[in-house]
Amino acid sequence: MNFKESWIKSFLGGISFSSLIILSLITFFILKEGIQIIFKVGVAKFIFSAEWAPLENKFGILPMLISTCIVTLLAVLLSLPIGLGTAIFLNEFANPKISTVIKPIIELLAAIPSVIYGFIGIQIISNLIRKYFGGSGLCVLNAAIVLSIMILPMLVSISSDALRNVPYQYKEASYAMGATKWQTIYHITLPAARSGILTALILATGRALGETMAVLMVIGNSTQIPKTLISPARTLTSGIALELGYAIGDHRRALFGCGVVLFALIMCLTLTLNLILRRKEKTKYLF
Amino acid sequence: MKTPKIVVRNLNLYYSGLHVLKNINIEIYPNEILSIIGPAKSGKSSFLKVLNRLIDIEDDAKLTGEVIYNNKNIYDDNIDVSTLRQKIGIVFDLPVVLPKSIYENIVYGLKIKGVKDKKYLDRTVQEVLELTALWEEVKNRLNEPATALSGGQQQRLCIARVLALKPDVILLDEATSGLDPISTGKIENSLETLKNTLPIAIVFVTNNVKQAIRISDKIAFLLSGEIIEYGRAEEVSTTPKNKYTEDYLQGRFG
Amino acid sequence: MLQKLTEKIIKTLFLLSTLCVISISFFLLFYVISNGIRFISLKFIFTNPQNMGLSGGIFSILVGTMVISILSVFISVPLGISTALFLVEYSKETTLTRIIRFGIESLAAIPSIIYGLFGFIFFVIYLRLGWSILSGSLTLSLMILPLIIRTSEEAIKAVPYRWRIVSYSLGANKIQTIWKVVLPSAAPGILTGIVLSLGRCVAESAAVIFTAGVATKMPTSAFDSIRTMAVHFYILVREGISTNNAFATGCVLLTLTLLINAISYLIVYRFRK
Repeated sequence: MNFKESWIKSFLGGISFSSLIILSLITFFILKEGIQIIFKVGVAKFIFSAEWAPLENKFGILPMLISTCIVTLLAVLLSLPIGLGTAIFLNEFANPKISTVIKPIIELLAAIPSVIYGFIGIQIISNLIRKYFGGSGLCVLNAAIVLSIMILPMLVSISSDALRNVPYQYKEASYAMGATKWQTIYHITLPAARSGILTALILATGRALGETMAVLMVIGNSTQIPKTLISPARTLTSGIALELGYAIGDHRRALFGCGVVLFALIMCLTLTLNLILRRKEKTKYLF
Repeated sequence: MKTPKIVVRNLNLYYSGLHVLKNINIEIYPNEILSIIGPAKSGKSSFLKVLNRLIDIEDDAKLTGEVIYNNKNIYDDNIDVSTLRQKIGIVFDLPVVLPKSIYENIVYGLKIKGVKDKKYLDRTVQEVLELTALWEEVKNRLNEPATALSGGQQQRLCIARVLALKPDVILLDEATSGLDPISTGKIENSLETLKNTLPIAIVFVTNNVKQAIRISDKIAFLLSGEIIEYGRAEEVSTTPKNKYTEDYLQGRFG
Repeated sequence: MLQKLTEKIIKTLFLLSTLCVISISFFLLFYVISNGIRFISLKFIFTNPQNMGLSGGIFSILVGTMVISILSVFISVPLGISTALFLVEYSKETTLTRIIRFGIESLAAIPSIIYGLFGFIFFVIYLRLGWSILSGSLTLSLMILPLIIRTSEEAIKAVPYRWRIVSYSLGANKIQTIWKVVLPSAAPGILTGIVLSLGRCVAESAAVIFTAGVATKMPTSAFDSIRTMAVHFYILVREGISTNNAFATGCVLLTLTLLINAISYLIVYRFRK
């Protein structure tokens, strides 16, 4: 490589580092604002206290933490069977021409702005909840339902890819031994696609965990730990978005503290995903 | 006595930990077709890539010896590799046309060198297409994508593309192995015409012994990286000096 | 016999899941569009909002949305394509590239509210840019960077290696090969990534509301605050200002996002030949 080319390589390499620089900046500033308050209040108190009263300088995020976990878990539980079922249908049962038409439609769902989903939650789902379950309609259940609809397209398309990548030879061998379609799917295809489906699951969980606006619109706004599914609540994300506009001083820093916790949760998920993918590389042909 | 276009002296090539070419000494003359035959993995393709420094792209390739072209070792430091590759052109085993029109494919190398004169480009395009017997077939569709051509036509296009740069040497790496007999015949005829009309040296790597005997002036037999036998085509094919050569020609191995 | 019945039941269950997903999609679109379309008129689109959005239209909001989205794309596309080129053309899989990829993947996983927090504390406060188009688009550009890198990398990787070899064998060097063979061939894929990123900017609310602010006036400089459509929609709904305008805004927002994504499909389809 001559001189000019190595100059270009260094230049492009330098630019590539920008992703790392940005990541460092984000981590630095979020931590800078959030860590001090966490230590000021005390790590245990910050995470495990149930009192969030900014005016009295009380910053306990337990209710938000619990609500975040419940809403995310519920959303994933609701959408997993439907999403996986759809992916299986589109890849294994449906006419390929139909699949090629339906898949883009489902992917289009993923592009819809989150505020629209929140709107549907307010206009339609809250009325249904109010009618059949009681309460104001703006509650944990509403948020879980809205989130589950939001993560469906992601689950369907990533699981779909995973199923599509299962080598045809595996299925052929199974049929050749007399297995039926479902037996093949259950014993061969699904296990082979396991890591891809797991990836879909983790990415969808991450998405649900990080969603802000839609949840903000439908979860009610309560600083208490939700007692039932129809109780209003507040997640880490909606809590930040709710008060950031007017928070100052320690209050604002506490919101960044929530951001730190959220960031940590997401990082854990990402690392788990990387671990799973790396293990898959080593045991690629054993399932 | 003709002067050789390329002289290879004591060439040794190593990559991926293997000694791929061992002590190669050979001269390549113009107005001749030199066929390099030998079983798979004997180093034939690697040898071609050494001749036009395409081997540079393989990172762990190491070379000793000399390849003399234009009185200079092509592996010296101040060689312009770009011009070298245009003067020692190569055609690969699968026709690889660029995703452009027929016209653009042919003038690609010229435009790289900054040639802008449209008349010159047009004239060159016609010349090389006539040399490869393609002109009548494509003269009205020069702006269509090259991928619309058949396999045989595409391969002739690849040869035309190389000819547009007025090379001194053309290297062909099993260039007809993927083609039907008719296309193969057309290409063999084009090569015959080329070697007789232009001062070009042609090096033709092939797995097909009968083809080698049919078209070549000289044959070199490469086995496990060494030139086991080299000489005029009639001599090598009828009275090979080496037992391995005879076995290979008779199809006893390879 | 039992086996055949089980197979049929299972197939029906999966069919039901699919129908469920499809009907939710269509219902969503239908609901917003049918309820909103009657409130949309040319006047609505080309007038600025008045009375906090109670009356008037969404013109300044549309303009603000397009300006901030296009600016964000402008900022991150050169960075993204350069990174993709470096990863594919100029490097092998070394520790260096693995670190860079880790950075990109991590950025991709970060939720938009965290970008909002960062943009707020860094651009709005620390760099004193205030709530502005500049703060908003800088923040958004960080958010879409991983997407652009990923789609560009895939597009560049998809260019067959043989084409590069042929280009070298015809005398071209690396830069010429990239410029004349690789990039033109990868262009549709890269363009798709750009269009998808544009769609993401239009749909985004959490990252924008804390960096670009909520002003409804027509912007005159990059330092002006603006309100994007998603944010305007959110405010109309949350403050209960006007259900009619909310539906109308939602309808325009939805149509715009769908249009942008449909364009990305068209690009792929048209260039598949």
